[in-house]
Amino acid sequence: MNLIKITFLVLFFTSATFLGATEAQLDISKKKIAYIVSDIRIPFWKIMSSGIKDSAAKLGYEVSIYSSNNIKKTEIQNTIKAIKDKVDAIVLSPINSSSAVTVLKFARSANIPVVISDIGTNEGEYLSFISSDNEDGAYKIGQVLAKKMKDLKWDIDGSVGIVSIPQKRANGKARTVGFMRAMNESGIRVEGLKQQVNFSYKETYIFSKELIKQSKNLRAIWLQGSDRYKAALEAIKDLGKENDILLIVFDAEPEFLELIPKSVLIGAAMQQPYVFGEKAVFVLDDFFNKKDVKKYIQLTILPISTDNIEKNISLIKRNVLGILE
Amino acid sequence: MKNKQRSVFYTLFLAISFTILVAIFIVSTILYNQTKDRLLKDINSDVQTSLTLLKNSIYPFMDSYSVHEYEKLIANELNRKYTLAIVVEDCNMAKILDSKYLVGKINNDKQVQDFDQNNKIHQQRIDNSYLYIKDDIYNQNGLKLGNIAIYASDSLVQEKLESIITISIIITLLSTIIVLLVIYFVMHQIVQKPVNSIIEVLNNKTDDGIPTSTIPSYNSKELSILSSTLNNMINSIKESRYQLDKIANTDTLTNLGNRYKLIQDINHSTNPALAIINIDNFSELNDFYGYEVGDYIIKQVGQHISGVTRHKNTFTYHIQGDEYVLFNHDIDKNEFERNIHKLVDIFSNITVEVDEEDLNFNFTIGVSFESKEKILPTADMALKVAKRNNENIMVFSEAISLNKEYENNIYWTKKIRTAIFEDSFIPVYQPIINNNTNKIEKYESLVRMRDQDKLISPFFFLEISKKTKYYSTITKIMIEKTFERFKDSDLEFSINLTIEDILNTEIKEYIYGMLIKHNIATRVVFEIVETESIENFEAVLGFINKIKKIGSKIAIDDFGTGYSNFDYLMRLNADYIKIDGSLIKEIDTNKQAQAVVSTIVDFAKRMNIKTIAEFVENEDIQKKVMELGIDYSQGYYFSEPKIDI
Repeated sequence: MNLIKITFLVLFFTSATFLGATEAQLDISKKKIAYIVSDIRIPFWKIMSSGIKDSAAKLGYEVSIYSSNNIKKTEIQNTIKAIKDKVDAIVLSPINSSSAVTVLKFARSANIPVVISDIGTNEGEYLSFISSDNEDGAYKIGQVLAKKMKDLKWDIDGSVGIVSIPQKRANGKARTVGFMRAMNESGIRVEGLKQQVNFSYKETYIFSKELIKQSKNLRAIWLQGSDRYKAALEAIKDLGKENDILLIVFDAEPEFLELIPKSVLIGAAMQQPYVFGEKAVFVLDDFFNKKDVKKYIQLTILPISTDNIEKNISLIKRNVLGILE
Repeated sequence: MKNKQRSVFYTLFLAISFTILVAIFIVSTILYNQTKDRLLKDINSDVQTSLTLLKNSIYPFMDSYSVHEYEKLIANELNRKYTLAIVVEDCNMAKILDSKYLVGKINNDKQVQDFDQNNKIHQQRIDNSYLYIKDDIYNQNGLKLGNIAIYASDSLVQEKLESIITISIIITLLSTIIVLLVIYFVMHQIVQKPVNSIIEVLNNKTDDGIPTSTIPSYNSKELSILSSTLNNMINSIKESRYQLDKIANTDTLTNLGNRYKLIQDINHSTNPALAIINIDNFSELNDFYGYEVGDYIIKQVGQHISGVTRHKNTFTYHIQGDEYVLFNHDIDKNEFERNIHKLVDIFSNITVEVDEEDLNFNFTIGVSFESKEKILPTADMALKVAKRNNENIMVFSEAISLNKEYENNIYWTKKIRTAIFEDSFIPVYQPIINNNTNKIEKYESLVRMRDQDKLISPFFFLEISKKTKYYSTITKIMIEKTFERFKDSDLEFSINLTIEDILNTEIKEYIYGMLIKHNIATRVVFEIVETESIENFEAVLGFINKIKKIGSKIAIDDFGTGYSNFDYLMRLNADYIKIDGSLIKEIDTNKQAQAVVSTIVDFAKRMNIKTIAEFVENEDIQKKVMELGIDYSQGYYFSEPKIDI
């Protein structure tokens, strides 16, 4: 009788312990993370969402993607929906820093922690803000260009033109400052800067042509965004400057894996959106586990050139292009 | 008692302060009300403008769900000075949220905060707002997006109005202070300073209360007139004072310093020397020539004395009747005495022409070097002693001091009292001879004090008896004894009376009673000794008339040396004139005396008054007396006074 009782009790407590642990594990796995993203159709955000989903899966979190499709109303609706879905945390890549404020307000009123991944916010309360070190990335890619121009001995008379993203944006200013620092250190003149307004193909094409025409000694164009690189290449080609003017860009496109080795592009400062996603989930994991969380996190930008692309190809594929092999 | 007088400046300052305060209060009140109206209009205008602007600017953001963008516009608009809160109700957001959505900003304690409709403080503030306006917001297609409400606060108005009050108070105080300072400065310079200087000048005065300096002239017309007027007053007072001083200090007859002036100078002296100069026998001249000539002589002699007194610090004074004073406030005794001795010789040469006749004078001088408190009485004492001793000059010393006089007085007072007690005052009788018949016609009763076997002359006790009030008793004794002696006789007799006796009611009644009692009035002649003046002439005359009605007669004794004159004779209705012995004693040798006596006799005859010569001591005198036509003679030439006749 006693043995039966003891065996029963042992089994009971063992079962209770096992069930308790399972319950605890279930509690973690139940935590839901909403990723409110401005437009999931854009590769950069898509890759970032992959980083979020992959890391969340590894850590046992449930992730819901809320794409605003670049519509503010949708972004607000997504926010309200996420709140109603009782998510435990939000990773936010807002339409812009102004709309982020409204999302943050709603999240705060619902007492939901928010990690902002890129773009940033004008104001409001959030758990952490993850961004690229734009100035450092621009500086390093500037050094890549300078080395190339020196190799070609274009650094003495040659100059550089910039087609930039709007300089009122903090990342725009940081990119220009970092790049200019590298140029100054190398003694290469920068002649002309054109700010993109509508980011259209035509706009980039026209700006590129104007820069080439303005400066007879122009030896390179630095494009601060990656998506319209073709317009710049076409402008160079149309003016018959294919062998005289170099193109170097910020950010990356999958075809760069071929264009850079061929020296069609000299190099690219590549942000790591996959790492953004990963990092956002890691921060939330730390928060859930009551660990210290950094308020501001800056990720490095990879300065990829003809010289180092082979060596970094796997890193680029994973972190930049979100291609998991 | 508390001084309730207030400074004119204090009153002026109060009045000005009050005026400024009232004026600024009125101006401030008007300014306050105007500012309040303007600020309230400002608020209305400002809020209306704000509403219009916001309506036009935020609808695109509302339309595009850019909540933060229009929040920024609201926050920006909240910077307007009067705006308390702006609240937007967003219908688009309400649809998403499925509930009312309010977005707004509120100024809470100068901090811009998000408006929270559940916040009680926020709600209270907008409930207490001064102004509230609300309007709907539409998009370009006319679709209502929501509404906007603007709340305005009047706290700024209150602050501004409080600021106006504060500034008004500060301006009032500053203005008052500045105006008072300016007025004080101006008043001080133009009025107070000159007034103080006038007060200072008026307070800086002599013991007589007369300012020592004049008031300066001032730029101000009124003060200049005041200064000039006051100076004229001061000068008038000084001139009047000078004239008064002159009158008070100057003898009007001689123009020399008078007794008052002498006393003043003595009081201011340090080492004084003083000599009283008396003209010998001046009363005779006065009697003879009358007061007008007497005054002339006094004046002329004074001029001579003053003229010959050359010492620079020795001044001449005329202190009374025939007495002058030489006084030096600081001189060596020996030098002063030497000078006085020299002056005696010079004075003997002083001549005054009267009726084409040159008159010379003898002088007796009493000198003193005592302290200024004693110098005048001691010089007087020295003069009296000199007179008594028949000396020209006597310098006061302890030897002739009052102490001896006192001792003498005490001695004689005791003696008089004893004599009255022992009935030692007795009459002696000297016959009076009728020069026409050369026979004794009457007797003069003279008083003597019996002292053992001696008869003492009244020279030694009469003056003391007057001082000790025994005189009336002696008079009574003399009347009683003389009347007793002659009551049963047919002879006329005379008895001496003084004016004091006559003015003494008791004596007066006693005499009258005795005359009636003894029925002797027709044989009595009362010899009245001349005195300086008769204060109650009517009383004296009443007595004379009364006794003359019952047959008594009046003789004026010692006529010619004292103060009696012919007018005096007339008024007293005298029957006899007894010519003073000092004139008769030298009548046989002194032409001056002869002239005086001749004039007296001539006048008496015309007035039907009988004349009697005293002190007829020898034949020569008697001859001259008879030659001059004097009716009666009396003297040792005929008989000395005797107890028994």
